[in-house]
Amino acid sequence: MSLFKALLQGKWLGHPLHPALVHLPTGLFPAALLFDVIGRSGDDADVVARCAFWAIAVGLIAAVAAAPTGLADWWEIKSGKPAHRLGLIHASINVVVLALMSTSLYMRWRAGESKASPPTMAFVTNILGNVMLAISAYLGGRMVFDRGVGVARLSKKTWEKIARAGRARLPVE
Amino acid sequence: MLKDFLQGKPLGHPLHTMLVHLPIGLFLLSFIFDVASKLIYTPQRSAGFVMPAYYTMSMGVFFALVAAVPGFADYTSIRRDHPARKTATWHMLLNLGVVVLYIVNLAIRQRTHDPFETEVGRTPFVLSIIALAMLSVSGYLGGKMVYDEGVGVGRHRRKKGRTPRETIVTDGTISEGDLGEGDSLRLDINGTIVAVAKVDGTIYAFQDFCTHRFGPLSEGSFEGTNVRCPWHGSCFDMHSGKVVEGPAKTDIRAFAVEVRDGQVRIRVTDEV
Repeated sequence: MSLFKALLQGKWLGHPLHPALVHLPTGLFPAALLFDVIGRSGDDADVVARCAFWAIAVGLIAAVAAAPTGLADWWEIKSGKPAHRLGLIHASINVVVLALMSTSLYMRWRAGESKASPPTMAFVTNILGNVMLAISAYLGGRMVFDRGVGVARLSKKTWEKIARAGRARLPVE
Repeated sequence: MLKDFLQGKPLGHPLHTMLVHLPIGLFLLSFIFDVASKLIYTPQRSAGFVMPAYYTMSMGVFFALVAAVPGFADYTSIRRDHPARKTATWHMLLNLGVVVLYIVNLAIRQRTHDPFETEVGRTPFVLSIIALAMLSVSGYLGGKMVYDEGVGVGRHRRKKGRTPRETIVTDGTISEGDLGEGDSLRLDINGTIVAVAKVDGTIYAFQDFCTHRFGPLSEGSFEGTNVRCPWHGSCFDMHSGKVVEGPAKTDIRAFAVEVRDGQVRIRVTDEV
């Protein structure tokens, strides 16, 4: 179990796996929204529709893969900490994002993957999904940059060496 | 002011790390389209994957250039002798290479206007592979900067004052003029690394390393007589070195400061 958790947390990689994987959904869902907007106003509507379809599809696959890695990171946070609650909200909103983006993808697939203009509801769910994503991704960023989740988790020994060389008082184990 | 905005201070979170999701996602998707164009037969160019690959790549280049601006603003704030400085330099150079490769790639693709071409050509395909490989390395270095080296973590909490530009090697005496209100310095006093800060007119000196995971207290935020570690928020009294708030459990070293005739003298004892 602990080996599995270490794998999910990215110990083998040397830095947390979850923030690396989430680049795909977090990058591709907004891109899909941009493609939808471009498709409504310009040429090559079928090409853009295909871009949007696959941006959502690839983003969803990566999002599903990223979920267990996020859960493994969250497991480590003590339940009294502010980051624990942040993580819970982050995860709950992400479930909503997944539901909205899956719906959007399903509607596109039903209408034909590269149909020049995707159904209106596919566009609307894409917008809503991206709004929710913006909130949850922001919370994810705050967990790292405000609360330091995952920071110096794997580099603790390196920093300890530097601190020792700098004649710092070290924590008593 | 502009730098604060680019570094994401009003947002409480760096801008660069947020924006880079787009090029990373788009370049990978573009490559997936490249592969699809080779594996899946399509009768016409318009119905195939060549154009989507081109579109996603263009958008990726656009956002990579947008992300470069706050990235550079972050770069200028890294202390010159910090281990992350080297990582950041490599990260930047690799990314510049990636963008150049993708621009060349796009130019080659643009020249091919054959409506019946349904497969991405060999040269642009190989260029995509090389650029993506470089991007993986630079993305990894970006992650290393945040998660191993703590760049940008807790930075937004520091409301005013300059963080150290480099570690100053000294025998323990500095000029008072080097330290403005709210500023902090990082000194190397005969091997002991000391953070010095001027808060509400008082100068404090204490060990630079937090006793939790050794975060840089010279880059922390100051609240009254306390310093807060930028990484995990441990709080110490700057005068006594005592822990005010965890996660750290061990007090830091605090050093006696003497100000006389515009000179600041920090006395470092042998006892750790």
